[in-house]
Amino acid sequence: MKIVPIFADEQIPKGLFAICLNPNEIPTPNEYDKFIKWVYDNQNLRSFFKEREHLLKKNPYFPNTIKDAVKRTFAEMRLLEQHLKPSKYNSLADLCNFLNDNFKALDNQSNYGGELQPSKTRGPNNNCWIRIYAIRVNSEMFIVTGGAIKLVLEMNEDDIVDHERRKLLRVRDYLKQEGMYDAETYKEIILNL
Amino acid sequence: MAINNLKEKLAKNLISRSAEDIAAEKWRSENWHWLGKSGDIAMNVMDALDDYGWNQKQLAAKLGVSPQQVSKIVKGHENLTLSTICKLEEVLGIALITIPDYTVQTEQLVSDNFHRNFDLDIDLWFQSISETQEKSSELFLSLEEVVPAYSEPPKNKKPAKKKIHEVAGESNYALAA
Repeated sequence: MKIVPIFADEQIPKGLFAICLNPNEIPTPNEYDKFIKWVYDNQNLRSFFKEREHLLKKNPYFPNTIKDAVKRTFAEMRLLEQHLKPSKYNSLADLCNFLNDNFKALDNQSNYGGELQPSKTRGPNNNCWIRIYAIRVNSEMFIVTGGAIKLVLEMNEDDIVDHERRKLLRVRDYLKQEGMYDAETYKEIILNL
Repeated sequence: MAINNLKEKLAKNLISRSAEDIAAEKWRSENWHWLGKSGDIAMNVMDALDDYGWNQKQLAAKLGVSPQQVSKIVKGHENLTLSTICKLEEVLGIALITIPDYTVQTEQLVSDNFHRNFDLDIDLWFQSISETQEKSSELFLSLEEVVPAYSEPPKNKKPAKKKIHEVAGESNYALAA
């Protein structure tokens, strides 16, 4: 695995990074761009929603048709992508504030889950079904591990979402192994709690 | 101290974002204004392919284009020319675009564009969804009319699918013929 700066300053380091699971592949893929590319493909989305029509119908935000579901997903992705771009902000610090405010603990019940916390964001709107998953290294550094369209309540109810959960844990283990955590910051956070 | 440590460890694990991904992001942002419409066309083309039981290769042969071009069309990544759209309409027997009368009122046009292109300030759109119905009236039509995808849940009723020949009857191509 490797880490790819997406909208980040690696010298500080702060901002949005993404994990690269296959650094030997060319061009080098990263999980952030891979997910966005997957979403902006009508063929993928149509197949995805067709396969999950049973889940879609149970979803409280289910629109009338698969076509509308695809359009909704496009709009959600566009909104989220716009909010993750530094061009929306005056400085990288402002982007970091957005990331810090919007990446929540994976488990809805906990606010702080220890170092290298698995996190998720649905962007600025709570009704979104798109999720971007990331490991929170500290309040300014987030490493995206992937994304999903979550039509279910629990992650383990849909294989594709559960796969993202497992990926988060794998990446967290890798970062731990590489010593990629900000122990001092977390010590301070714990003392302040 | 801790940050320096993190920086050193990151440096050992860092690789650059690929030029392809950077270019793709730039392309999306520059072409967003038509990508929504291309996506709508892609969905109709895929529905028609399913109805006929054709694959993309067969469609490519009928259109006289490469399978790669059809692949771009169904992904919604193709900036289609009128010529290609008319060819698709002819081969598939469906309507893909209709031109509204010039006399349609401005407010209707605004709401149509809002619905079709997502080309308004998308922040405003989402903001309005989470706000009250009164707020949505500022957008000329009720939110349900403008953005059916965001109608209040639950709404599981599916509209009856239009048969191909019914849709074809409305096509500009058919009218022109």
